[in-house]
Amino acid sequence: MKLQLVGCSHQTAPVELRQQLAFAAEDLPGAIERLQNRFPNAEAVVLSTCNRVEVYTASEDQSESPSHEDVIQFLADFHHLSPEKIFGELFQQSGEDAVRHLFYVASSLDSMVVGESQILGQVKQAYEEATRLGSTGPLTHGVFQAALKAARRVAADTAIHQRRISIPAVAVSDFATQIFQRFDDKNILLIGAGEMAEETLQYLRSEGAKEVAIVNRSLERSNALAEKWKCRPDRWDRLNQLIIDADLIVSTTASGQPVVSLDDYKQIESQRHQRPLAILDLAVPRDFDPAIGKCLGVYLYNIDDLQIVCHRNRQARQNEWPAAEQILEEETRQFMVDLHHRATAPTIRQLKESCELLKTEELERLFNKISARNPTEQEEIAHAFDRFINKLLHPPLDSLRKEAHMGTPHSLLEAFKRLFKLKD
Amino acid sequence: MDNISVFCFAASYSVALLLELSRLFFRSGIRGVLLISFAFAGLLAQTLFVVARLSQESSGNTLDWYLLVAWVLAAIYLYLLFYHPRVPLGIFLLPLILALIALAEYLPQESGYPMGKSAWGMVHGFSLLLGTVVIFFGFIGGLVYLIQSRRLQNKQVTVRFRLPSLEWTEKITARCIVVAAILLATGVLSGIALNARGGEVPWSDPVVWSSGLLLLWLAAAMIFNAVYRPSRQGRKIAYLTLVSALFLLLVLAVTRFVPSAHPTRKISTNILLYSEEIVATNLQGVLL
Repeated sequence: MKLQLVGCSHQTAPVELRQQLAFAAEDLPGAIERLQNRFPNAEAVVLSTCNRVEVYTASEDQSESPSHEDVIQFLADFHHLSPEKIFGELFQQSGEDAVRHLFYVASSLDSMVVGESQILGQVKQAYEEATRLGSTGPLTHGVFQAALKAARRVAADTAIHQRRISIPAVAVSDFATQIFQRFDDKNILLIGAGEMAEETLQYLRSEGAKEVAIVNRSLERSNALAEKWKCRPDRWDRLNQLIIDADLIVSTTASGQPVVSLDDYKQIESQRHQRPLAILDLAVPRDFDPAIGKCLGVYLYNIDDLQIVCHRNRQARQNEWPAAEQILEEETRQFMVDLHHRATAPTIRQLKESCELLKTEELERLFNKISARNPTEQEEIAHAFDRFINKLLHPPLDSLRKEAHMGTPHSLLEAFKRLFKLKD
Repeated sequence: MDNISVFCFAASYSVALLLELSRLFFRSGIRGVLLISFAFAGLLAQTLFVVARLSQESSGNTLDWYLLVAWVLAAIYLYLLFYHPRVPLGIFLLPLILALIALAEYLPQESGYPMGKSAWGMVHGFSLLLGTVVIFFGFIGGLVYLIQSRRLQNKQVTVRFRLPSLEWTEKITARCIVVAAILLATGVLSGIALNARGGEVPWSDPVVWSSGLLLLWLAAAMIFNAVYRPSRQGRKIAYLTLVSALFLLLVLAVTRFVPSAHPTRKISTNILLYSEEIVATNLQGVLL
């Protein structure tokens, strides 16, 4: 039985190489098909994300499993690269180390941003895609399902995923949701139409935001963003009116001067009737005069406030690391014990079958000789034989099980086969 | 049931309060279960205690009034624990519940009162009891709003101790003012009806006019909300609930310390505006 992993990640290879080795979604079926053609009796799953490319292979029979070099050759052939060029950049792990690695990857402990939740979905998707293409088997089913379970346990039992660490995520999840209970009935104003604005909009949408107005000095850009996210673009000269109507403002312009000064705000403040206003000023330099934050009902957060929380959350995630690691070690150990038990299963089954055969033969002979014709008596005798066999086999099988806790008990299995003349 | 004392449920609520306070310091997977267990144990013990008290002949004294308010608030707390387990409102509710229990225990006990068993009496007692609960709950809501508002303005955001959103608390406090005004109006009007049947309404009675004052305040707050838009939102609504609670405390103090035809001691009058004994009597009928 062999489980192997060959690949590279953000920790071992530069981004250029990862890009060269990555499998686009449309290439993946072809890649798995080629792997299956080369190694028809091996199971395979390919995990390809922007931070890692990993090929997991497994086989019940070690001789049928691809070697480290085989997988590298496959990767080189598929991407038209020289195997020598990539050999030193790829890492290989097998057995327990490969299992542990997959568990760490699925739980995002091996991610560039520890605690990010995307990777679990990507691992699940890779496994489901391989299953759909028919390249998975009992071993890969077992290890991937165990990895997903371990990742869910880490998510449930630790706070490693709970704290956001990107500025837009913190702005929406840690600040805006403490002010507003719901977002579907709020007027949201987005000032600026850059990348930060779009990312924030994504988080707002996931919180249920519906009514979003986008205002930008370049109407063309605000129109494009509004069209993409089904929002309402508006004119820059209506900014004051939009601020009066807004409940939440996200400002992300690249303006060198504040977009809204304290005097500007004071002029429109009375028209808001002291309605609470959350302002997430994500721009550098700031779009809103910090003094506006002291006005009644205004909750103003700028990028520095958010960065402090991001840093604190990152630290908090690191603090959760030991607890997550402990869970993954437990899960890895448990999985390996189950795997080793599975390795002993065929021998145990053979032994029991052989004993069963002997028992049947002996019982037949016995019933022919003795006068016990009564079915109850025959049943009693059969039960006695069963008990005898169970008692006889219990000590050796127990030893085998105990040995399996330490690893696959190859020598003991071999001894069993020779002693009881068991054939594969 | 005779073995259940005030200490039983006060201790349960105290442990629940300690568990709530522990939210400030660490995460725990088992805390939720422990909280529900202690809150439920406390509520059960208090229910049995109240039932036992009501079955006694001398029931209906002031002690039961505070205990009943605390009992309803504890039931609300248990509901919140079930349906909003992450909201640490217990930190604010439990001290109030414990304070009411302490008041019930340490204020001088008076002897029983004449009991009222009419429908008006029931309406009068229940509406005043629930009105008191709603005002106290609104007070907690207002307090939470002001604390949360201050935390947010000072950029103090923590995942471990997360108060309800400003919008939620604002909604709750605004509703509390309206509901409390309706309940109090019902209580006062039913009291007037109750006494009108007996012949005379004691308008000069301190309890009557202080209750009327509270009702006037709540009505003014409602009108203020209706005509002045900024008062409906933000801190103003929180301040209104805090002032309402102060008025309520005034009424309770008047009830306790000012001589009144509303009895805190045994009287031979047939004036039955005082709600406590009526609530006690009616609850006796409902629970037993």
